[in-house]
Amino acid sequence: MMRATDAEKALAADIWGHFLGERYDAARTLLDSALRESKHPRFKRIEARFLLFEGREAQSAAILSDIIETAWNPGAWELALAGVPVGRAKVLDAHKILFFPVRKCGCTSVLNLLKLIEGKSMRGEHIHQEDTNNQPVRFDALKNTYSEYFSCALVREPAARLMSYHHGNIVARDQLAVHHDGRGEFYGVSTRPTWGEFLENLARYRQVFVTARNHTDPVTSFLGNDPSIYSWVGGMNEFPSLVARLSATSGTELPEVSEMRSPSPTKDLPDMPAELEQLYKDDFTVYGRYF
Amino acid sequence: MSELYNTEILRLTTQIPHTKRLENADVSAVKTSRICGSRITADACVRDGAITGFGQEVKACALGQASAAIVGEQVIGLTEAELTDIAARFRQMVKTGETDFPEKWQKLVLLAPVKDHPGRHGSVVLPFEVLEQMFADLKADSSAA
Repeated sequence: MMRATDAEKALAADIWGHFLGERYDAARTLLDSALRESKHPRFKRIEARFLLFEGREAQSAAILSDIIETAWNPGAWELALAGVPVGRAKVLDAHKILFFPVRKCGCTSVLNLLKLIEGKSMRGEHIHQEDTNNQPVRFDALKNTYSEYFSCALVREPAARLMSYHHGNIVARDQLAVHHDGRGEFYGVSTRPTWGEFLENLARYRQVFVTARNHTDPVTSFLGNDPSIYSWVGGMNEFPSLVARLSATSGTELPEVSEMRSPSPTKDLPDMPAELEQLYKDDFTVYGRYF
Repeated sequence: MSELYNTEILRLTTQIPHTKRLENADVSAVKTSRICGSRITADACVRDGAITGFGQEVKACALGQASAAIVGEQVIGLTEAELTDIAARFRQMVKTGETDFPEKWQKLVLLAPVKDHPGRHGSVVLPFEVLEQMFADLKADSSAA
């Protein structure tokens, strides 16, 4: 792996500073000069992020697919956009447990339970500050390297995930604003959209806010297209069953963790607009039986 | 503000009007930019030479989305003559940076900085191309009838 020099690290920090400060053209200009002067892959990753922001998803995907195999600790959205058969998993080697967290599918609760299994304290929502502790795992490794492990994942119907993200993360926790210094807009895009605004502009939210993309990427991008590679896959109503399996596998008594669930939406699930049906088509085909 | 990705342009990306496709359109068209892959699919109802209903699906970059948002604001009531006039002024702006629009089309000036980015010209003219295609198809249909 190529290590970045101090100058490259400082340059990358400056680029991000401009981007987060909503000085996109300055950020892009600085990045273009970095790409001319440095071969370090972190600048290609920033370029992929910027192309996504510009709405040029195909170009962003092309860059990521070229570099993802050698990139350090790629994020969920990068793996998904690159289209590689790799997910991110919490690996407990001591207990031979492998958990693939899918956002808005009970992952906060399970990751906290895994903390208990490791003999540590639960961390509530702060558990996601440790996302870098989840590691990239090739799906085919479940059949060889991890064939003896209990590999598991929780899945959920796409409209319920979307509504949970909007209601719990955007509205109740004000996350888009909090992540941007409390600003009401980020590059002109509201950080406090209504449900209708969010749904209608989901494609743009997924380009502007990486956190929105990570929370709304299809289940298939987190888990691949073959549920049979996992020891256990279940829907949200199977949560107690998963807790029982984790408890039995690890020999650890585990508590109820319902307090970590996102605030529940009060509205009925919406009809999925045609464009979103396309985004989540494979979720229904591959994981629909668990919803 | 002269930057390409200024806040006003980016705000428009979440304000695209007429995003519901029409079921009983008189004409539909699809245009794709060969340069960047941006695509707009649109339907229209036309009465007495003017657009009375419009629906569009915009799968484009941020600049293409912004352009579709501005054009979409003025699309109801649009005639072929007005479209031809505004499209010509817009292409002139994209090529030279020169801006000369009637008041109701002034927002197009926001896209003037694209002049220095030839790779992005294809996507910002896409909303005009799809409308031009529609009027051309209607004309072809009426002359064939």
